[in-house]
Amino acid sequence: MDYVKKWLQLRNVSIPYIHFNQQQDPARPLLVLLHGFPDDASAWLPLAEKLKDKFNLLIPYIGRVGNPKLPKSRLKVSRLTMDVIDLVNSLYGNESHFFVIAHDLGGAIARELEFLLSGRVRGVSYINSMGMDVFSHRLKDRAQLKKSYYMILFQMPFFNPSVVQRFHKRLEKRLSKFGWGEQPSLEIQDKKNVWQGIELYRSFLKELPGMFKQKRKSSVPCLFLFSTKDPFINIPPQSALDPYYNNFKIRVLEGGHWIQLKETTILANLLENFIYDSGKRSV
Amino acid sequence: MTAAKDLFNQFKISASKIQELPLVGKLLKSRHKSYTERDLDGFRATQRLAYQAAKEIHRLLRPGISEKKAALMLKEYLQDYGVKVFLHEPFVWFGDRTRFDNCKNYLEYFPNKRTLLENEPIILDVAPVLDGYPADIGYSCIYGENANFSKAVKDLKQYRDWLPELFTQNLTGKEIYQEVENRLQSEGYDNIHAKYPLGVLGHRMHPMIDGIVPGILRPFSWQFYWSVLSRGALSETLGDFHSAQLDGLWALEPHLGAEKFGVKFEEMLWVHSGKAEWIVSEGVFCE
Repeated sequence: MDYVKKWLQLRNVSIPYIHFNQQQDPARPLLVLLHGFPDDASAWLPLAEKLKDKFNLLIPYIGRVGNPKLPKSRLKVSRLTMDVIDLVNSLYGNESHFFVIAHDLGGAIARELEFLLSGRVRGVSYINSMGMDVFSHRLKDRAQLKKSYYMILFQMPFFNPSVVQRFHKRLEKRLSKFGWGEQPSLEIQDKKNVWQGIELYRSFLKELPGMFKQKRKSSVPCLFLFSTKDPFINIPPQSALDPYYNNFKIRVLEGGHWIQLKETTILANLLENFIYDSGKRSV
Repeated sequence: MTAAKDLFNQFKISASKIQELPLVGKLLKSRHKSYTERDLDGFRATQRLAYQAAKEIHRLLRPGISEKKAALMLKEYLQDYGVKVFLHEPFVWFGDRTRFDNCKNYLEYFPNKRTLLENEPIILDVAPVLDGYPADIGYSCIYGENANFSKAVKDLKQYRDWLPELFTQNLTGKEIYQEVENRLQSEGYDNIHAKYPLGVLGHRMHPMIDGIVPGILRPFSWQFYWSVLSRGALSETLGDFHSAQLDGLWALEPHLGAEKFGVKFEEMLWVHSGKAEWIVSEGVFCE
């Protein structure tokens, strides 16, 4: 594989990201891929293989996954968003335009980017994911609430990273039913360390009530990709997303929560079409 | 009412000279010390960081963002660089709020849900404390274009060149304040710093207790109150009542009021042995 884990010094800390060694062609659109939990940036590698010849790719590690020295105070949505912005600005310039592809918790950051860099973010694709403000309202739906019970569980003091890491093999076995870690390329993923990401859940949940109050509508083109067998997300109806987006599409695919690992070809095609369509519209 | 106002003004004038009293004055003066080049480097480092934060956050501001959100971004940016205490919480004002026109009390100066519109002036005012050295800066900028704003910033730059001269002319604080006021009027600007608490043009800066106890109070931290009150309060602020000696490090913040908006800068001026110089020679203004 022609990629390497690099570090960039930003605001007093180093932020890791995956860098592809292929020629960075400024004419190609830039894609920022944001992973969720329990994953690290390498969770995007199978999909990145399909996209790397047509796009410039930037895949940051979110939170303390792959970066245990990151202070806990940085685990807020706004701060992590600023880290992503700084990373894009440092590597591609302050005026660069880009697309965001977010899975799971990465959607919280993608949603903030929609507003903070509204002129520069050309489109966002949420894969089994959504913004925190949208999700906080989705919790009014009983079916979604039922699927989100684990969020409360993660707040329990005994559910801290060291305990979870101790039982990671059992948890992995359970999650593998939903498509987690199936790709052989993911052997490079530090499967124990990714559970460090549980801290994000603990931190993000504290911000959820504040997000509930927000009433924001974005005009950035969005593509929502949901899968039929996702045990964590109940596919929302169009009307549930209408109050938050002016311009969005929903596509439902066959599969589990980690469709980006299994359905790479379908997903790459869908994303490519979305990116070229949104690019044409926003230019 | 006028008599009460006069009495209060008289009190402020007397209180600003508290350091001239025999015993109390000696005690308060013991809290003042002359700063070494190393101290000044500490103040400089904090001021540079504060301006860096303001410029970075300005680049991220887009129509639709609220003052509250922008202030939070400023705060988090500085905290990421190791700031634990603020002299005051970050203030952000958009559009007509940059001249406090509809503010009935100081609570309304706090950043609120007011969102930024296209071509609106912005003021970012932030005062971090880094390694015990505070800075207090004001940065006027804009999202978009506005010819009146550009002119006001151009005029504001001239105040930066002119203010050190006033401190070397043997004038009292009151006279300096009056000079600035007169110039503002002659150029057709309103004096917006008169709307600050105590209506001051500036305040003295001193190293602060940092990193042990959080700031607790809002918007000004207890460290700021202690820093000012323990040194004589009114003698530490440059208003139309100030008549004590002027040596020390001052954060000066002339705030010009144009039609429908205001502009300000805020920087630290080092006044010592008849000389006055900005601690960072080049000013930071929105281009």
